Amino acid sequence: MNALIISNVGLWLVVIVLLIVLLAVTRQLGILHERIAPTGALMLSKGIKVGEAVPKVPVQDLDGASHTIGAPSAAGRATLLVFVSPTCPVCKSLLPILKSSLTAERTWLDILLASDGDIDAQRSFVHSQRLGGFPYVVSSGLGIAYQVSRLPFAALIDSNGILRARGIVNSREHLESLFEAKRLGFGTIQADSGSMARHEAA
Amino acid sequence: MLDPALGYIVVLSLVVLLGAAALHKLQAPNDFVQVLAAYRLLPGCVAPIAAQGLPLVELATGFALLLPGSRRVACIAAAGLLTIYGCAMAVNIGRGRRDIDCGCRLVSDRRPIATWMVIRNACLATAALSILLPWASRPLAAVDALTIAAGALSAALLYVSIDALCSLSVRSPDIIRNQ
Repeated sequence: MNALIISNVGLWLVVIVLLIVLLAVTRQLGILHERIAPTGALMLSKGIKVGEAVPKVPVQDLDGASHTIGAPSAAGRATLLVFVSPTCPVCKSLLPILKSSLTAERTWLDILLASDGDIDAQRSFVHSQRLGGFPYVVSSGLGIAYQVSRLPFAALIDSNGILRARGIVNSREHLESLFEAKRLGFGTIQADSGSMARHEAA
Repeated sequence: MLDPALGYIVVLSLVVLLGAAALHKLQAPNDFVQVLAAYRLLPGCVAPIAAQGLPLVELATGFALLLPGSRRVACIAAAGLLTIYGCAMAVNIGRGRRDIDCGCRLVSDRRPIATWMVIRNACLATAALSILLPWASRPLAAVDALTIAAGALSAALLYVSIDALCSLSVRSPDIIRNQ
């Protein structure tokens, strides 16, 4: 009887330790799942097409300044519109990259953050993530105009109000792929690699 | 015939599940009202009352499960709650509203509803009803306490692991509807 009890205790211990390990592995898997993202800003089939003029949407940022998204810029500056949300974890990891792009690309590019939802939550998000350097717009009309379904989503609009590139951006590579796509004249990096593949085949 | 040790494992696991569910809801009452309203099953004026009442019902059910006298009623109530939640999700999946928050963990993690949650609830409800089977009468030994405690702990850990694993297979939309 004693031997059975000891073996029982031992087995339960092993079962519980194994379950804790299993839990840790599934958690780790979840973290990996979040980190692994498709390469290249992903093009969504719906919404405004690259090369088309974007609708002019008048908006106000959190500081009360007015902007007209899509209006031609007299100074010849392009606009990068980035849709983010306080509840989206990937957005938070993208913010430092956006901050560095703001300084690195300041000669030709304005970056605007756009979101939707509770104003107080947005204000505390701006405060906690130190987003004072960006105009921050809260507008549901903007997200609908650009057919944003997944975040973080970016749209690059040139100085004439023409959409140059758009897609989901999860990393620095995705963001730079948008700039690269504009430089090369392709709407998305996928269109670019597609044409390269055709070129190689020929 | 259900062995009492097995029976107590199921009872204890359900108590932990109901307690945790009630605790999540009580910690974020405003979020739960929103979640409940998003299911679009209750009229607008009833949802806030139901949001306050449900965690209390869950707590009461959990407590009643612990008492031998009220156990049979409580396990039917627990199975009923699980079935109602499962049906609410199934109805919204049927409506095509797969992007609403399931309300499983509220503040800590927002997740859309999915078919596997309906299956999970059906399995849990069946487990709750298994307590209604006649229990074998045998004296419980000291080693049974170990079986019951370790069994319930294992069940809870397994539940959390399966939950985390199933959530991975669902590509969660980053925007979850609030209305």
